[in-house]
Amino acid sequence: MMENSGKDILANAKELKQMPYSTPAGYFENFAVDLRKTERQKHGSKVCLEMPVFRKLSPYLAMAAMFAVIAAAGTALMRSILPQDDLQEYGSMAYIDLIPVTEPDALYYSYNYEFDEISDDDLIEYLIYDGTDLELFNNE
Amino acid sequence: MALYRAGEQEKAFSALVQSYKERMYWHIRRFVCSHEDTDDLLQDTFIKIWNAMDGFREDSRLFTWIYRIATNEALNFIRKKKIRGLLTMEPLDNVLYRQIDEDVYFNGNELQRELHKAIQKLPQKQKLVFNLRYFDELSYNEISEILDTSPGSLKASYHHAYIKIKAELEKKF
Repeated sequence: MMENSGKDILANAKELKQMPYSTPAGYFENFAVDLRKTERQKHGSKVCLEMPVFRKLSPYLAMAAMFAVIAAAGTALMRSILPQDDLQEYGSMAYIDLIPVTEPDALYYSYNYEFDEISDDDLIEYLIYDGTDLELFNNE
Repeated sequence: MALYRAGEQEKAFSALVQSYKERMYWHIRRFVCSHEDTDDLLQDTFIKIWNAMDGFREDSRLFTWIYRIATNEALNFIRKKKIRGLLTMEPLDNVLYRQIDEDVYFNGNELQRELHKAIQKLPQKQKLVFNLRYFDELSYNEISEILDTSPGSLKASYHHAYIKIKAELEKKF
């Protein structure tokens, strides 16, 4: 029905039914001879009757290897994009998150009293080292 | 087959090759779009026919049996090519279009080129039915014997294929 339509390009263009390809000169004339040669080669070679399992699987193995390479390359690229400083900053940022907003100087407070306790002797020694006038000690 | 059963196997096979080589060549060529691939598949087809002739039960006609073997060879080849295409990241359609465009044996006009490209866009079954009906002018009953599908289903496949290709060509011409 559709093939009889007046505007049907597939029905009207007669050249479309012909194959628009040539073949090498003498191809069909020599085909039977070439076929004999191929058949003798295939039957003559007893070695490769069955394709080895590895050859059957190799396209799939190649695909799996390709995905593994892409995943490894992607991971290495991500690690190279993030420099180490940024990683340390993550660590310090985590500490910053712990500092109360109302007391920002708390960053500088030490809560380890045992180590930070300074004796009077340590203080005097420091002041002497610093060149502080001894009279100032008495005034205090 | 009569020659074959009479013990004249070589003569029978030669006669078979002589009768079907061109028909099978073009049938395969319409699928794989390359002379070299077609030649390989055609030789494989006839070797398979030669090896299977003893087992041919004559419950189907010889030519539908031969067509079926050739069709399976072409479809298996396309399937393998599709898998290889996954590795090279190049879709099969692109490979086949490129082969049509670069084919040194192409001697048609632009309309013919676009027709063969449009055929490559069809799903495999529609492509098969279209080729057998449009180019080889087989009846639906004959195609049904080759593909083991009902004539009704084949008519539907051909209709869809025909409409798609017609639309593709009318866009450009």
